[in-house]
Amino acid sequence: MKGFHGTKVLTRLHLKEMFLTPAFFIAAAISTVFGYLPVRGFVNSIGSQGFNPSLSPMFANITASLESLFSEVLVDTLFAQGPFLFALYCAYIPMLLYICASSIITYHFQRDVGAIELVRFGPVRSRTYLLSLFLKDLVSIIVYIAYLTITFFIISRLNNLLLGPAFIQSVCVLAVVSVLICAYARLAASATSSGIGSLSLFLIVMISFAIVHVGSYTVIHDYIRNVSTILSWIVRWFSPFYFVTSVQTGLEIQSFWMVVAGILGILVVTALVGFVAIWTERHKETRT
Amino acid sequence: MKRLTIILLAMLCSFSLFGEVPVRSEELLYSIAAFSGKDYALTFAKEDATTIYLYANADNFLSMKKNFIYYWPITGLWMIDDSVLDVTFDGVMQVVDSKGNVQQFEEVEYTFFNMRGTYDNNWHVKTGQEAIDEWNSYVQSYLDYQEATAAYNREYSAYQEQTTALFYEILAVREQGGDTEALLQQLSTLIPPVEPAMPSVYTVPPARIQYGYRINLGAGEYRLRFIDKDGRVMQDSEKTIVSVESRRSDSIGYEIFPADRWTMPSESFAPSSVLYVDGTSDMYVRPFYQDEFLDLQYNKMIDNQSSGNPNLYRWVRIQQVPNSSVEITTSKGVQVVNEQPFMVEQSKSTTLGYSIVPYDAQGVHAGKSPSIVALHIPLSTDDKEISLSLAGVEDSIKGSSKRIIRVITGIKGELITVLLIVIPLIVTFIVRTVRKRRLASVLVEVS
Repeated sequence: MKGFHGTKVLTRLHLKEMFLTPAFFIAAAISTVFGYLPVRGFVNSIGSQGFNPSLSPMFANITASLESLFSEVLVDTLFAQGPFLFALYCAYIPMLLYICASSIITYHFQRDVGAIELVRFGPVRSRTYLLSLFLKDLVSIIVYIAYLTITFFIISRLNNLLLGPAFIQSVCVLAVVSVLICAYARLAASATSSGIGSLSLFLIVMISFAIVHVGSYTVIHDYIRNVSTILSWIVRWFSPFYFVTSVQTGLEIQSFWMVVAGILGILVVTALVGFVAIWTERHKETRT
Repeated sequence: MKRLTIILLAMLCSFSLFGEVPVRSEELLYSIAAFSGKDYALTFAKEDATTIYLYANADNFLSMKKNFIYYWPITGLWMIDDSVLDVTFDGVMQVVDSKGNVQQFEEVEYTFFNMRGTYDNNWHVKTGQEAIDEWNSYVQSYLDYQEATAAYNREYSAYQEQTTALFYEILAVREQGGDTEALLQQLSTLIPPVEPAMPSVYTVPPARIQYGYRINLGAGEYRLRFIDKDGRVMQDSEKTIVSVESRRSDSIGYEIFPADRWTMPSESFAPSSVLYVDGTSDMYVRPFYQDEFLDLQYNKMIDNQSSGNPNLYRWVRIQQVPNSSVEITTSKGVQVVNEQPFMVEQSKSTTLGYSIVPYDAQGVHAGKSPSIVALHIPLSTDDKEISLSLAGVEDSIKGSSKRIIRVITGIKGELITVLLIVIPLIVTFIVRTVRKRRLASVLVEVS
């Protein structure tokens, strides 16, 4: 049982494991609440002159923070078509982090109890095992994004809100960029020998990418922004956030090549990270 | 001890006498009159500013100065103090492009002024003889006005003297029991002189003739330096010029005035964005042309000390669309609304509100200017969705002018929303229950 068939069987097994436990569903419900709160706040912030954040204390704080960090332009863009773009990020980010973290913990748990070794000496190679976990993560994210989109669609119909083209585009972009983030989760899982170590490594890498990327957008201090811009120029070729921004900008200004370049970039870096993860795993295999 | 306390108290009090005095420093500055797409912004680049941002393919005016500058903590900005030191250097400005081509700029006379237009105030700049003519014309019109005012004052005094004399004459005749009819007729024929109108061509009159270097560059990055009279590059005069171009232009934005808060307009910049309103009052909109710039570059262009986001683009209002009309699509059909003048009238009731009524130039509003010239969009809570776009414009402009107005009347269907959110929990509950039952039946079978 090797290659494609092995991957398929193992992916199905991992998915079954995940869907039989309540953790995924609880995380999905909590993340959706995170997404719904901004929608509720947005509706409460609508007056006769339009969207007025000062009408809702929660939104007043959120928009004030975003404006001071990134400028008013970002807030205008974020809420130009309604609350769902912001709500999507609020719901998607915690869920993605949960899925990646749970996958890393599962990997180390199964490794510690000898399940991976057993499988490796049996019909499946470790790279097949890695790939199956990666596919499980992707399927979980797609299932969650589908559920979230349906939920937001119904909420939008109930409240006469518009999901908007930017929301639809972002759903597709986030689904694509999840591929790269899941690949980083796999690399982090293979890179260290303990679950806590892998989880920390994954979070540190993601937070670093986020800080460098976000830093180049901040208006707080010229120095921070300049340093971030230089760092961002170096690390952006590996950063999922850079590719997300690139694809979204391409969609906004209707530049086909920018979109294609962004998606290709995600796929190429994913392949690269995937190869490094598999190489690390095989290297460990040889040592053991 | 007592003495010491008094001395300490005196010292403490003395601190309050010495407020924080801003520290001045002498600096070589670039004084900039920068075109911003719609008007001229006056700013300056300090010695430590490495870059000057200018609007591409437009006339910008730079001059090399030496002034005192000081930091003003209230605004958090550096200010110029030209009361003591104000030196403008003579020489030549050189701009070098990325290929090494050198452009040389000579000093010209210029002035700038703001004229009241039909829709927006418009800044104008004139150079050379035109600038001198404009300044002379302004000075002449001002002198004419002063002369006319003096003549008016003289005529008015004479008129007052005449009326007072006649008045006393009428009183005297009345006391004597004489006929005042002829005198009264004479009084009624006296016409007061008409006060001369102030020159209203300018909202900001032309500035006194200034000397600067007219810089007009294509989009890109350049090096700037100042060559003094001796042909040497002036120390600390080298800067980078970023000539800024808009990423997208001639898009349409809207200024939105809700009828119940017409003094608090909001703006809709993003094309195809959605305007959410509660539908409690009508809306008045004014479409305007807008261009898209990098936030940081545009901010720095109008004020070199300001900051901004270097990676985000922002829309900048350029000018109101003249004589506009919009197509409004509702569930009832399509309707074209034309631009109209309106008057804001204070309510005479005790509610102290106001109402916006169509401007009647010939009737009740004769002699007054309209409060607002806009497009009236009637709204009600029954409307769910209204879409609007500019009528009678090119397709590309029409595309960017589309907006959807959605009327939101509070949060709805919370129970359904809660059900949607708990669906994952229901699913996991069902899965666990089914598994438990299956496991129980398997255990029964095994036993």
